[in-house]
Amino acid sequence: MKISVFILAFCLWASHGFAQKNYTKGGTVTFYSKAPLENIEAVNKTVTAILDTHTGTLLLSVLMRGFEFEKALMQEHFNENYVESDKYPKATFTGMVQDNNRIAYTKDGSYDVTVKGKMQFHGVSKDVEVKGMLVMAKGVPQLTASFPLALADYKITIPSLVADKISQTVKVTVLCVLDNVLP
Amino acid sequence: MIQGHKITKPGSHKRHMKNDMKNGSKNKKKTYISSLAIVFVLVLVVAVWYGFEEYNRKPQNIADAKPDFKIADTLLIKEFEANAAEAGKKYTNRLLFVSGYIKKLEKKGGAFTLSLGSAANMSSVLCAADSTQQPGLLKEGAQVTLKGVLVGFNGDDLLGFDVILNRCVITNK
Repeated sequence: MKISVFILAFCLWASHGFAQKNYTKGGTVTFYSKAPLENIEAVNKTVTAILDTHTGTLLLSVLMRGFEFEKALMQEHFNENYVESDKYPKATFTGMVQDNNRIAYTKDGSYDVTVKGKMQFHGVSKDVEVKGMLVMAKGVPQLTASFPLALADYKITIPSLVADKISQTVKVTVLCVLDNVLP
Repeated sequence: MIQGHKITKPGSHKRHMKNDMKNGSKNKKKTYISSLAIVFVLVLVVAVWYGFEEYNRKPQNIADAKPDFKIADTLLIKEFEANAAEAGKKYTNRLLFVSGYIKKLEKKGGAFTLSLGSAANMSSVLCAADSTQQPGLLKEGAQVTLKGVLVGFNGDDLLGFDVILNRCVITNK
């Protein structure tokens, strides 16, 4: 009896011990749009990301007004006319790393990963599947991904006057070094 | 009949006057049109110049700009914790001069972020440094004053509340 209680306690301790939440508040998301008139690029350096290495749950959160553009007018149009930052101040992603068990979070290594989940952006919630890479280096997970995002999927309309000058799809790149551990 | 005098037909003087008036109004019309054309061209030049300047306008130069608000990090956090919507309306997209203690300094590639606030509280003022800035001698625990544009607040129960400032310029080093 005593032994089984001990084993149970050990298992609970062990499972708790391996469950770890890594996070960062300084991740980056960039988007790039290639267009005939001019290429548009913006970067956000204050992306919050949390990864539960035990379950593979991944959360990302980004403030729309946090995107910096080279030109002020582009930034104003982005916030006011396209993503409507006052109405929809942030975009979030909640998903799961697929086959999370195969990732040895305690060892250095790199893995091609697929993350499935829901993206909320501009008032639209959409199921998405993103392929990316997870690199473990000195106990720190680093996530990178690059994927196309169709503006129409999130009800972002481009005024007809500039419709042929602005790309309907933007390339989104995510880089998060999750070097903090939740206590 | 008197010789040497040109005999003018009755009414021809009036006709001359009429012609003169006609020519005068024609000239006036011409002047009017040409000045209108000049104004139009000037307006067009100004509009094109303005459009070009506006199109290429760079974001505000933070280092030289006068801040809209001066506030301590902990007070700013308190305002957002008390009423995020109201504080958001008041501060979003405004230039803030914030002073506080560096809770965390994170360097990522060439960029860096500073978390200001009390170590006892998960909430912080998260400042993304402007690309012109270098972390230099900044270190955790030190006091700092900086200017940045408030872009909003973000957070959850796990990570606490973050008031986020962008394009931060350190005013003391």
